Amino acid sequence: MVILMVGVLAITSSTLGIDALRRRSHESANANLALRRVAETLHAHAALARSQSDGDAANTFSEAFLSLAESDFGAGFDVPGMTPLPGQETVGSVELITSEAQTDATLGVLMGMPRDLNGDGDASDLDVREDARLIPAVIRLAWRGPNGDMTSAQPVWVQGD
Amino acid sequence: MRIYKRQAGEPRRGSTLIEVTFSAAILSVLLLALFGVLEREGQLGRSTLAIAVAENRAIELSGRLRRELVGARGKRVRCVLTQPLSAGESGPDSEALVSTTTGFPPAGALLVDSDSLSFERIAYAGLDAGERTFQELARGLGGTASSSHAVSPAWVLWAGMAVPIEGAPGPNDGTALWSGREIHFRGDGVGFSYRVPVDPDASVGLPDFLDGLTPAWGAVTRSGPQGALAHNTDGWCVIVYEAQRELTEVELGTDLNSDGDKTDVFEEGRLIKLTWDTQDPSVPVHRQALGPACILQERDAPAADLDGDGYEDPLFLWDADTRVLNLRMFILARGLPDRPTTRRVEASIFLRNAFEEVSE
Repeated sequence: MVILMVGVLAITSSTLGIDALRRRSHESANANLALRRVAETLHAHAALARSQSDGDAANTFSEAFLSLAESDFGAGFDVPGMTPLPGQETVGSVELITSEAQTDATLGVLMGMPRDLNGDGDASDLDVREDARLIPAVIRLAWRGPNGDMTSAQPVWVQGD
Repeated sequence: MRIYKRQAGEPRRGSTLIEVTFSAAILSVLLLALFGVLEREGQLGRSTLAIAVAENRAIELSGRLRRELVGARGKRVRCVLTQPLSAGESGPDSEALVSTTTGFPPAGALLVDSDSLSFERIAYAGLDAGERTFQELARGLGGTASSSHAVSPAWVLWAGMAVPIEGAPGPNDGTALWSGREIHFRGDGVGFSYRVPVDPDASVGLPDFLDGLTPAWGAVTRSGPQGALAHNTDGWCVIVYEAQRELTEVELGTDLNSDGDKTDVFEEGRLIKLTWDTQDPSVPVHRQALGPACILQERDAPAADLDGDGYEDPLFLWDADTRVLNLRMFILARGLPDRPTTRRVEASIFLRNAFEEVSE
């Protein structure tokens, strides 16, 4: 009887373990799909911004893109099936980088920063919102799951003309 | 033979028959309970794995679609009538004359006058080589009535594609919820029409996907020698949902779409890629399955609400202006016989190349 009980407990433990792994796999897949979805939307915004930009200094690619991206993701975004961390309103956020001085270390992702974003030959401009030709962004997710608090980040580059 | 007799004051040993029977009964009950627990554990394990497998399949499929479509060029699949269409035009010799059939699959369904009271769903079974005629019509499908249609600027749409519409939705339109925003759309949303880069002189040198100095668009069709696959600038592709088997909520014993009843009928199917030659109907249509038959759709109700949130759920929703193709799949996993589970997988694909404005 004791042996049987030990066996049952072992199987129950295995089943719970498999279920936990499945949930983790589900969350991870869900997170990857959400990151990709936002990245694809940013690329679509970039295409729209390129078409809206007329080369005039008052209507540049970067201004058009940042306006579109901030209106969509400025307040963060939700992912169905994921719970935000305590104190956070949304699961996802998009950091649009408009300073050439940002580094990979401060951003927490490997994306080759600092870098010349406006094509003026240096990588020291602190605000390129009006003339960036290359805009990096970091899409971040932070959620509370059954296996604890999780985070995920994906760097994205969008290009102007 | 000696008969043992317990002496006065000697402690009792052994068990009576009643005691043995009682112990055996308890042991049997415990064993049965253990076997029951083990059986349930096994079912839960299978259910867990089945759900994981179904999710992985859907994610793999969305990745495959991304690879297929990211370099593709979508098209608004629509045209206008160039000759009036009478209500009686139906059967093997019937035809509808339109401005173009480019991008429409070799067989399918049309939405005619979809924003008016004379809305009709018409099936066709063939296209002409001149890309101006739908052939072999079947009229008044999907609950619509066969009626006459005049030449007008109203679009004739391929029913398979769901496209966003401006303004308030009509009685034949749907509303989907994407990224927290309502999108009104028209069409079934079970397919997508596109072309891919092709290399017309594939046998010469390295693939360059150029026709002269301009990018070449088309499809890999069965236009090679003896029906072999070949790059074809007259080729076209669609990805379309194909039902494989029927499922009923009665059989499954569950309310799959959370609409409060257990009377709905569903289909489980897969995505099929079709390629054909738009100029040469003698080239056989090439069919290629893109994944397992695990995608759920409500029978005779394409784009129906599948998760009970009050919004329609088209499989594909194509916005030509933003060039974003939204994909939403519901996957059925059946690990536990009495508890089928659905999983929703969503993906967005930005088509890097501009859509085709031509041939409308």
